[in-house]
Amino acid sequence: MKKPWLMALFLVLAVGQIAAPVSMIVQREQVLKDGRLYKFPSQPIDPVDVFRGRYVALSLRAAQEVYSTPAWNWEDRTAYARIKVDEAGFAHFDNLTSAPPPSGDYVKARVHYGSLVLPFSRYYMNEKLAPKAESEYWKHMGRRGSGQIESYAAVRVLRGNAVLEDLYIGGKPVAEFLDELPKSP
Amino acid sequence: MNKRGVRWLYAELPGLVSKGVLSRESAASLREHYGELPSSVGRGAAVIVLAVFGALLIGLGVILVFAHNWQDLSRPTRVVLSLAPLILAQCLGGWVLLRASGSTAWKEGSATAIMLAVAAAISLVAQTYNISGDLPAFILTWMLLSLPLVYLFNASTPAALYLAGIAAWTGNVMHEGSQKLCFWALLILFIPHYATAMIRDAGGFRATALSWALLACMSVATGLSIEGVMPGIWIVVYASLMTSIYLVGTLWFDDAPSAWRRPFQTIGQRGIVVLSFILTFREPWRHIGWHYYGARGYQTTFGAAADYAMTISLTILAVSLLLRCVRNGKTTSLFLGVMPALAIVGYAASSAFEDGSLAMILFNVYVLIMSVAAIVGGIQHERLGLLNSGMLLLAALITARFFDSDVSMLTRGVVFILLGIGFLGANIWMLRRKAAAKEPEQ
Repeated sequence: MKKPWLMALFLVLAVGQIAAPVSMIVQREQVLKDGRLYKFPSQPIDPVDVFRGRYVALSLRAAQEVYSTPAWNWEDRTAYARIKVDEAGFAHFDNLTSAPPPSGDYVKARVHYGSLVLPFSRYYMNEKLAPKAESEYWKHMGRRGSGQIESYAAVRVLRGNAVLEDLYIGGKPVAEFLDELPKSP
Repeated sequence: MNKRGVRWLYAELPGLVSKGVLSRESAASLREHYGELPSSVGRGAAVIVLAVFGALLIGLGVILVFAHNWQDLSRPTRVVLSLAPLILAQCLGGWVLLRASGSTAWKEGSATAIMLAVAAAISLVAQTYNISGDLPAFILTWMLLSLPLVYLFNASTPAALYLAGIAAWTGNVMHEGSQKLCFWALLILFIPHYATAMIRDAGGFRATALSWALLACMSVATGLSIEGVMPGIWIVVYASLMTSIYLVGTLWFDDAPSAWRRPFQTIGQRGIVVLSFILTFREPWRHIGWHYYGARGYQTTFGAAADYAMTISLTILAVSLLLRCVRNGKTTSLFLGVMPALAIVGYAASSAFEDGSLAMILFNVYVLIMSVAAIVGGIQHERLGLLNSGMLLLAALITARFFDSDVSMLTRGVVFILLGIGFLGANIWMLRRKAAAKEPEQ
């Protein structure tokens, strides 16, 4: 292959390779800028992902709530989950549809084993902080989950696309919550 | 004679001529007969391997450093840091294409670095925006964005990574309907690179390494791409696949000097032996065939048709290769080459009678003959490796049948002792025989 052609093709490829992450950035930035904020009640569980460092996997109450609707009919299919907000200000899903609902905000998700696989079930943190966030959460909750600490995911939603903005524990962003803990010797 | 032997001979020639063992003319005709030694590829290959490993280590290092996920950095800074390795690697790649396009090491190294940087960029952006992600979609995007590097840089390391990637993708979507069949389309995209390497130098390092990668990928992903509407069809598919691989090696790569240089025979032969051994157990023959058609819930009719197409075409391929071997006088390949026929007979019998006993007996006898043939061949040709492989296979077969059946501990013990004595005795006998054969020469 002649060099000018080779270079031209390489440039096209390079642009394509950069376009993939950049399109992800642009879409998420738009959601963060223009999307409406919802608070999804959650509890953290910490796993490891080789590529992405440690993250806090969120067990979102809203993801399991679709049990009440016949979620099994949607098994392994894409569904549009309509968001409703309760009196306490927390977000839940009240309905699953095969097309975007005509009014109100919704999240596009897949149904797997009767619960929703949501696009905001991971919060990435430093590998030391992620397990700490989880252990502090459970310390406050007690072994049987009888304690009281509020934990929710702040999610921005725009036209079915959702971006997890921050994770709140005890009413504070998780980084701030961990910062304010008494330092262990 | 292999290259090492020729090199040794050429080093000996001046001494032999000076001592009068060989005439100058004889030495010259020997040189003419064996031809010029190819320029030493050893150092070149080492430089390429080092460049590739360097790129791999730097790429993985960058991923790990960024994956540390600095909480203190702002989102825009993280975004810039996510894209920086990719842009740097692309600049290096551009420089290589412009200024160092003659260097295989630079081309392999920079293309590998770009491929890893693409993965790093997507992963790090996903991390920055807390994107839960979809692993198969990530792998597929990464592979398709990296494949052109293989052709633009004529680089085989990204090609091997691509093969690993598409196999991993197939494994991830194996329960997601028929999309796993796209594996074959993705594999075809690799073939032009492989064909070019084979046409240039079929016995060379690049073609051999690519053959290993291709065969390993196919050995894994073929099974993952089977829908399995007709349970147990994998037995016929794998029997035909391994036999075809083995026969391709026998037909076209029989002269290669070492097992590493004969990937087709090495993988095909071992594949046939391992598969046959697995088929001596009852488990693979349980609940298979048309009585259990569609017993698992998630299969599609399209997937079933693809299964049949794969089974029939691989079987036809194996049979035609076997006929060609026979026509070319390579009758020794018949023994391993009949394995698909046995698999089909076993499969049909297990399906018809809903009982795997006949198939089990068939494969136990086959593996028994295989192991005895290897032992006898090892003794006849004084090949210790072959003898030991045969004995190992025989021991494995006997051990496996012990655990299947109600044989008393005492009998098991005695047979194991006898097997051990057999192993040691045969090895000592063979080594002595070899030593005795060497003595008269000295």
